[in-house]
Amino acid sequence: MNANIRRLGVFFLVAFAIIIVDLTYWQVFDAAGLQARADNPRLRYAAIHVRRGLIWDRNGTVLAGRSVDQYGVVHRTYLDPSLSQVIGYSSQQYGNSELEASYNDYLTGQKVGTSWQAEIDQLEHKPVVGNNVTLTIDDRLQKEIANIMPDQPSSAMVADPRTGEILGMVSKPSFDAGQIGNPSYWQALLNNPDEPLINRAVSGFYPPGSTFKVVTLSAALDSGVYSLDSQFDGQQATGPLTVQGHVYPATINNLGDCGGRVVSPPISLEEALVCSDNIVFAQVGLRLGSSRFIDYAQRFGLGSVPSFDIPVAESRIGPSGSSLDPVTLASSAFGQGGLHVTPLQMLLSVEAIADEGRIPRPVLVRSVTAPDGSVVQNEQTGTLGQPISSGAADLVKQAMTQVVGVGTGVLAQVPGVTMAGKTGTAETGDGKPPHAWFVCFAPINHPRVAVVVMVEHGGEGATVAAPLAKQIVQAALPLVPQ
Amino acid sequence: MRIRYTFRTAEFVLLILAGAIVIGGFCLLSAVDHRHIVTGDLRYPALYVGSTLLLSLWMGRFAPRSDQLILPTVSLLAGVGVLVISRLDPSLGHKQVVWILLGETGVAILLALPRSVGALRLYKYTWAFIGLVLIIATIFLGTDINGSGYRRWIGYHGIFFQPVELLKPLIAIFFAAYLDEKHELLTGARLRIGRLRLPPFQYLGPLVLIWSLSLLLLVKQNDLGSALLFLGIFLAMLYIGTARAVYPLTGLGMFAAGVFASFHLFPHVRLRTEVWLDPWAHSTGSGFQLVQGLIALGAGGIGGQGLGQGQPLNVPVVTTDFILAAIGEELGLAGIAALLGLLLFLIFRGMAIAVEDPDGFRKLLAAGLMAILGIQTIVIVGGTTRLMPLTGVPLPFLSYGGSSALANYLIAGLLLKISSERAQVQT
Amino acid sequence: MSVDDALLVGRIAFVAALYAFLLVLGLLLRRELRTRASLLDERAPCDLLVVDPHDTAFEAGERIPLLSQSTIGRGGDSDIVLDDSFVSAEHARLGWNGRGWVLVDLGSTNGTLLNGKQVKRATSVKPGDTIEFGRVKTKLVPV
Repeated sequence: MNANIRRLGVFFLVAFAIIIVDLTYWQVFDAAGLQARADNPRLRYAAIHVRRGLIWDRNGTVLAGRSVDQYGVVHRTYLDPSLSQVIGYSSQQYGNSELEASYNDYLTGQKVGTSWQAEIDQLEHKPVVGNNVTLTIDDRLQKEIANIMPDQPSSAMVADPRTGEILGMVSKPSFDAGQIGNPSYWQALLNNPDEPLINRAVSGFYPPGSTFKVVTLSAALDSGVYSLDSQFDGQQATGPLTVQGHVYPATINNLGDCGGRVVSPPISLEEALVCSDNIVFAQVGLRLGSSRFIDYAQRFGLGSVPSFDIPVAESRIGPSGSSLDPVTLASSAFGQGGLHVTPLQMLLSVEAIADEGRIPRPVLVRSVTAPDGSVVQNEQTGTLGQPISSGAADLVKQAMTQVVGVGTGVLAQVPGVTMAGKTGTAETGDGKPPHAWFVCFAPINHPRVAVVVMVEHGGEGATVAAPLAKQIVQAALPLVPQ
Repeated sequence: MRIRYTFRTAEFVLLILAGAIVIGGFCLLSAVDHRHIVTGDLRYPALYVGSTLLLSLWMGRFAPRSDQLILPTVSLLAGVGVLVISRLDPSLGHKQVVWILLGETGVAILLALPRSVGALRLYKYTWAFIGLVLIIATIFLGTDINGSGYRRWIGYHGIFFQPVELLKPLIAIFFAAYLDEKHELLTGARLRIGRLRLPPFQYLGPLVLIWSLSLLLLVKQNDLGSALLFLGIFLAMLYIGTARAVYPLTGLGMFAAGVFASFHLFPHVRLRTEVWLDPWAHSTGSGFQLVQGLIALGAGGIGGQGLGQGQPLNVPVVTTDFILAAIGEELGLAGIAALLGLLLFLIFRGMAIAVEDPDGFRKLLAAGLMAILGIQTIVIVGGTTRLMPLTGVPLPFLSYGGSSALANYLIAGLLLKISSERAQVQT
Repeated sequence: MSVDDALLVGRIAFVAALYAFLLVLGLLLRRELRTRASLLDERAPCDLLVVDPHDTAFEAGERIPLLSQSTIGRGGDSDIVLDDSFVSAEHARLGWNGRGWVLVDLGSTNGTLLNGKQVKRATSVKPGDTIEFGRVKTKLVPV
């Protein structure tokens, strides 16, 4: 009997040992996997208790703050509704968006170096304090842009072409990220046909109109097919132009009102840009040919998504992308056809002209710092590519300077400031007024600001967008250091 | 007549140590909740610790030579149980203390009774009969207090009792008496069927009885845990009593056949098996409890979140069947291992008492009682950690439950009495 | 030290205390086992039952109490004196090693048999075993 009792004892010993091994599996080896499960209620608890990091503008103004209620639950506060599509929201119901989403790991303190103190703090259940994020945005400028822009679907951006830093970004209509906890407010946002939740500056999708002539001209000069002095006479300058049976009428040569002047042929390629002559650019496009045109458009960034700190839409050359038929090619050369671009894409294109042919990587975050002030991540500046030579960029800059000086962009002139720019009036083909565009940079010798303005169905770029750009440049230049 | 009194030094010192740990745990809990160590209610834990010391003093008079390590081990386990239960639900913690006090009173009375443990064997059929009547009465007259759809409690004026818990020690007494009496017969002549050697048919009676009881529990009460437990106890004791592996193997085979049949006959048994095999697929339904329990265990890690600092209340029925998840989350693997170590120590201590006792009945009873604790622990811990299908039985001394606490203290009391009598024999 | 630090220390101390308790239990267990082993040393609970006394002074059925270590031989300084011509002066030793009885032949001329087999090295003996010292036949029996 005793031997059997001992054997039973051994059985229990073995069974308990197996149980400990099994527990070790769940509590040690599979613990992380179990914790990460979506049905772990502790995750939600942790999420509402984490001291979400602050978001500052470049001057240290708190754009996104936090408050902690009596239960230790953290609530997000937002300073400037015009930044709601940039910073986004952080909500228990709807999750995170924009920067709040893309920098969530930093803001919730998950991306921090492991130190003894951090380990002990975690053991002691101290609230996790997230890292703070400093933006390149200057909120003084941001507010001015928001005031300048009309209260209709539109967007504007200001960047420093030397660094690619985005100094201001406005998309209208905007919303107040601080209010989305209110279900009726949220529902109203969803029902609004103007879609306030969309950041038009980086996700809006429009035909670029004549602003795209900057790209076509760059291709024409960089490839050596044309020079600024290339002459267009008679019907070459005025039209009508027939391409495979499609007639481009003389009404689109824009020579009758070139910054108030009437221009007569022969005209140079530079004057064609200054007056925004569609007939000339259609011919330039045809002569460049489909593959070269597509090549340059891709070098400027169409057909790919630029690396950025918030989600960006891809700008497209056309529906197929492989080859353009002559009619589409001719139309695309002056910014119509199948082209659909984001305002960010046009901003990057003129930044390339401003910065000797190089496209700077657009930057929204200057730095990420730990609660103790130590730097976790530095500003990620860089170059996305160089579509054209600096010589070609200089020539395009020269022509764009004339656009503002004597051409379609005269209404953008800022006294005492030399500026290069391009207007755009993009037909949408749906009977509504065209989109009004303006892209520019200033001053021309050492450009400090690059601007894009886009007003949906706003009308003429020259009369609607250019004056807005003028005010924005006036507001921006004093705020940007030499 | 001179009263003989022995101060049980080792036991008393150990009880003070155990009490200090329990009170310390309550202070820790108070510090977590109120940032101050004595703001919390310390009356119940103090009452509990005091009662264990009183019991030791009582034993110095009535069971002076009984084992001195059993009560401290039990008291620490039950004290940690009260601590964890109080952390989850303070009012349940208070109730648990009251039940434990009742259990300790039972132990005190048992030890003071002049009759020896051996006298229990005289009424063996009475115990078996009482047990069966209790179960059948529960099935027909019982109450379903938790809406499970099965009557598992007998209630009287708001106090509910789970007879199946009391049945555990009763059945162990019956088996010990039966196997001791029939020892020679069961180990001797046997029936031959081909190469298979079976015991004489008339002695298969209890085996069939317990097999029927297990399946009755399984089918009528959906209480797979208790069914498994009774079968386990029976097989373990049969093995000890007869030294023939053929008995447990036969019994196991019969039970497996029963489970296989019910798997096909009863959907709830099948569902339980499916949940065991893949709880993740049922994580929002019938596997919710198991998955949440595992998540809680994972949240604890090695060292635990600390008493009162985890979130074990996310696990359903965490105070009873799933107390292990709460312990695992707040005390970690280290805490669970220590408590399982204490349980194993208690079981081994009881088995040592069994080994050393010259009397067959007491030997079988002590071993059988330890088999109850051991198997019950394996069944519930294994169920929580997915080693076997989940069957709800309490974790001995740690889970909340009045009937369970009483039954466990009865087991400890019987063990103390056996050790006391063994010591007298040796004198 | 902040309250949070104190809580952390308390938390670790609580689990450590459970292990400390287990350790104390283990130490007490070890002490108890040692005490019990030494107790058994003092009171070896077996006798040597004389089955066939041959020429010795014992009678058949007589019980010879055993010490924890008993030497058996013909010499007067043996613990158990078997005055038979087939028994060597220092014939064998029977002792308790804390767990069981052990029989050692001390190089006797006529040998020591355990259950009829020659004892060559230290061999464990159980109650009920027959031990023969030369022609003298005895049996180990519980007291």
